[in-house]
Parts: sequence; structure tokens; C-alpha cells
Amino acid sequence: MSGLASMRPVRAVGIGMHPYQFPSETPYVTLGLTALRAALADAGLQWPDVTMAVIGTGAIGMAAGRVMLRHIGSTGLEVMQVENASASGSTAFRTACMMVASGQHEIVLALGVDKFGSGQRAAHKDGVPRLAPEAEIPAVKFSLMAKAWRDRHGLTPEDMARVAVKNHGNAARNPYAQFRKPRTLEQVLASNKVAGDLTALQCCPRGEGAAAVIVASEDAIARHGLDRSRAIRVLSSVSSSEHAVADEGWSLVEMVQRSGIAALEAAGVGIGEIDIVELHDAFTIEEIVYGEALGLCPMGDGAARVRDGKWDIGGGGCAVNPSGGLLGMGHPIGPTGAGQIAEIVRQLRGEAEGRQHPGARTALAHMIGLGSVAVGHVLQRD
Amino acid sequence: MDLREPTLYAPSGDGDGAVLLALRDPATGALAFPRTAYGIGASGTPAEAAEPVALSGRGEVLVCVPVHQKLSPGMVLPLQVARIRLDEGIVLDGLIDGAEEPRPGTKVQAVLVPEERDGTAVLACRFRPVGGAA
Repeated sequence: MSGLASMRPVRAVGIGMHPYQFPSETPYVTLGLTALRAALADAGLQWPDVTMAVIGTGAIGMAAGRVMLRHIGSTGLEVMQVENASASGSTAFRTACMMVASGQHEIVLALGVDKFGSGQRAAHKDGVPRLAPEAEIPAVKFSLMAKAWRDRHGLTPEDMARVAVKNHGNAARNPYAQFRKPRTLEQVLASNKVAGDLTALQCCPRGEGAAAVIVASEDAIARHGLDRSRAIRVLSSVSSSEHAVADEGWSLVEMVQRSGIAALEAAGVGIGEIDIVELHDAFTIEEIVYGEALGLCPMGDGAARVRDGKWDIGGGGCAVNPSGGLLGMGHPIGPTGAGQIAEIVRQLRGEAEGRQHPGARTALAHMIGLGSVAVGHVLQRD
Repeated sequence: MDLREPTLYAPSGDGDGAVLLALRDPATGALAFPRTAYGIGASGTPAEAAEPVALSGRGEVLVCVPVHQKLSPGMVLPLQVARIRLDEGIVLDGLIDGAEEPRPGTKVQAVLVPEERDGTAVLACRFRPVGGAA
């Protein structure tokens, strides 16, 4: 499934961000080019060195790449746009990796960029009426999941709220995060109730931003004299979608488990070797459930791991969402998955000032997109 | 009074009870709800090769939550959303008739209740607790 194991090595050599922010009048071109120029500077590359750009976006529209990139130079490079809902940036990164690994290109840009859009979805156009369209609203869907975990595993509202406290705390130390304010357990619990046990501070914000990652072959790294010690190896890249399962409709959880295992197996590493996980915590319950599904702890123990601080930065275990996650860093859709990769590269280089997880060597980026789809990557420093 | 979604449900003929309109694969017994022109996803069977069937509308609550905020245009509170396993095995999400939150295992029956939609009174499908747990 990975492909990368049997292909030539790929490394992330440059990262750049435009901070995630609340919807504004800033053109998406400004967001994207800010991230791109930062990634080029970080890598020590010039724009003409990049021979392909993969643009991940959910809401901007057709030809977002060319409209943006002509302002930094029309070099004749290959441009591709991908949309995979919340996993658009992850899919752009996966595509970029495959293009280098397969020998099609030497240096490829993956760039996620988005403005807050209309939220128009294909599911609204399939001609199939819903018995309860209210249940498809993400906050409702995940409050059902939270209640199911509460019934099965004794999860409490405080357990979920602690995820928001942790991730808002991490985001407060991340200059690229949309939310920069630490929150207390009391504040999270006292914020407006949304559905079930979920409160407003347990739901990710709407926003915009951009994230860029440049990947390169070993040959390109040598030819351009790039700093190999800062070039992070991409060990695996996997992508899949939901299976139908009989388990009370939680096929999403089975998908996370299956795709996480696939990403680790393709990388040849065990979950015990993973120092950092960036995962899809659009709602607090997701971090607990997906952390369990990915094997960070037995099913039902996720709340305890949050409670005992094992998923904290420097907590003695695997740091989960040191960026602040979707809850704190934000979830502008197109950039989110590429932003996970940028955070992981920064962490594995030891350059995550103010929020560095000590000794981080291997990390998993795991993203979900509406539908549902899952995209996983394992990265490792030498 | 018209049904809000006549392709999804129909009166059962027993009071205000409702049946749910589905497709069944004659070869495998696989069911699909809702009934669509696209066929049965579980078996890949095209709609033309499937038979229309009516599901009982009976099931049990797996989990239920109240919605506290108006999250979409037209949403009317109070609202209880439940995941339900129908007696025929299909798991679906539906709205509960009434403001009480049924416990997991509560037996429910699909019913048709009047509601206003765009200024017009229609009959919508809800699931009513019928007493007793599984």
C-alpha cells in the first residue's frame, strides 16, 4: 500500500506556514505565497528548482495553484490541484512524495491553502434524502460518539475537556496557531454547550491559512547542497477509505485503526517507537478514540492517558498534537494535513521552540477527510 | 397531510406508525436504506436487480444525545438525535419523538408526526420510545 518502501527515498527539506487565523479579507494568494516563500527559504532552494506543485484546497475553486503561483514566477512547472476534504493537504503531501519516490520529479511542493468557504459538499448533491440530516452535522455526529464512549468506557465530560486544555495549551506556544490562549478545565466545561457533552471549546474553529512542505530526492539534496541533517525522511504514505462494519456504525474508528496500522507497517516501525502523533481532533472525543484506535493505549484507556499527562509534550510518552491540533492550531481544511507535516518536521529537527517534545525521532501524521477517507504518513529523522 | 420525505417512509397502517422504504438483494438478503436509484452498496447490486421492501420501523436505541444549539437553518430545539439498530439489522441515525433522552437499549418505533416545514405542515418520521429495554 505504501509504495515508498520499494521506491527511492523521499525527504521533507523545507516547511513554511501562514499562521491559521479567523476568516479575513486577506486573499488566499497572500496566504499561500507566505507559506511557499518560507518553505523555500527554510530549504535553501529557489522557486525554479521546484518542478511540480501539488495544491490541496477544499473551498477556493478551480485552478487555485496557477492563479497563485504565477505571482512568484511562471516557470512551466507541473501543477496539480487535489481536493480530499479535510485530508486535502495530506493528499497533496502524499502525491508530492509519490512523484519524487517514483522518479517523476526531483523537488516537489505540497501546499495546502484555504479560505473559509460555503461548506458545499457532494453529499448535498447525491439526490438521496436523509432521515435525519441533523445527525450529519459533525458536532452532532461526534457527540454521539462521545456518548457511546461514555456508555462503553465510563468517559466523563471532564475527560474530554482535558483534551481541549492540553491542545489549547500547546497551541498557545505555537506561533502559527489560530488560538493562542491557554484554557482551564473550568473554562472548557463552562463554554457554550453544543451537543451532548461537547462544549464550544471542544470544537475546532473555522478559519483560513496555508502550509507548505517541499520534498526532494537524495540526488536533489546532494546536487543543491541542502542541509541533510534537517531533511526528514518520509518512511511511509498510505491512504484509504471506510469499510462497512457492523459495530454500531463506528466504521470511522475501524478506518483509523486500519490505516494507522498500515502506515506503521509500511514504515517498519511499531507504535511504541512513535514519539509524536498529529491526528484529527476536530472534536475532543476524536483524540481519545483515535489515540486508542492507533494503538497508543488499549481501547477505553485514552481518557486515562490524557489524565495522567502521557500525551503531553514532555510527558514521558508519545506527544499527541503538540501543534495544538485542529482544536487549538485550527482546521482551515486545505492546509490542515500539510500543517501536521510541517509541525512534525519542525519537531523532529528539534526546532519547535517553546513546545519541543524531547528526543523526538519518529512521528505519525494521521488525517481524516469527510466521506470518510484517511491518510497516514510516518516520518523519521536520521 | 403530505410526507416530508415520501421516498424514505410511508404510513404503516397501524395508528401513526411508519415503515421505512428499503431495497433488498434477492440473492444475498442484503438491505439498503434509504431506497435509491443507485442500488445496494453492501452487495453492489444495481437497483433494477433489487426488490423494494418495507422495514418495520422497529428498533432499539444504541446511543442518544440532545442538541443544545441551533446548528443548521430550520433546526428546531429541543432535539434528540439517536443512533438506532433496526430489528432488520440496519444501523441508522434518527430523531426521537419527544424531549426525553431514551437510554441505550430502549425499544423504539418509527412514527409520523406533524411538523412545519417552510410554512407548510408535513408529516416527518421520528422514533418513539415504546417502553421496555432490549
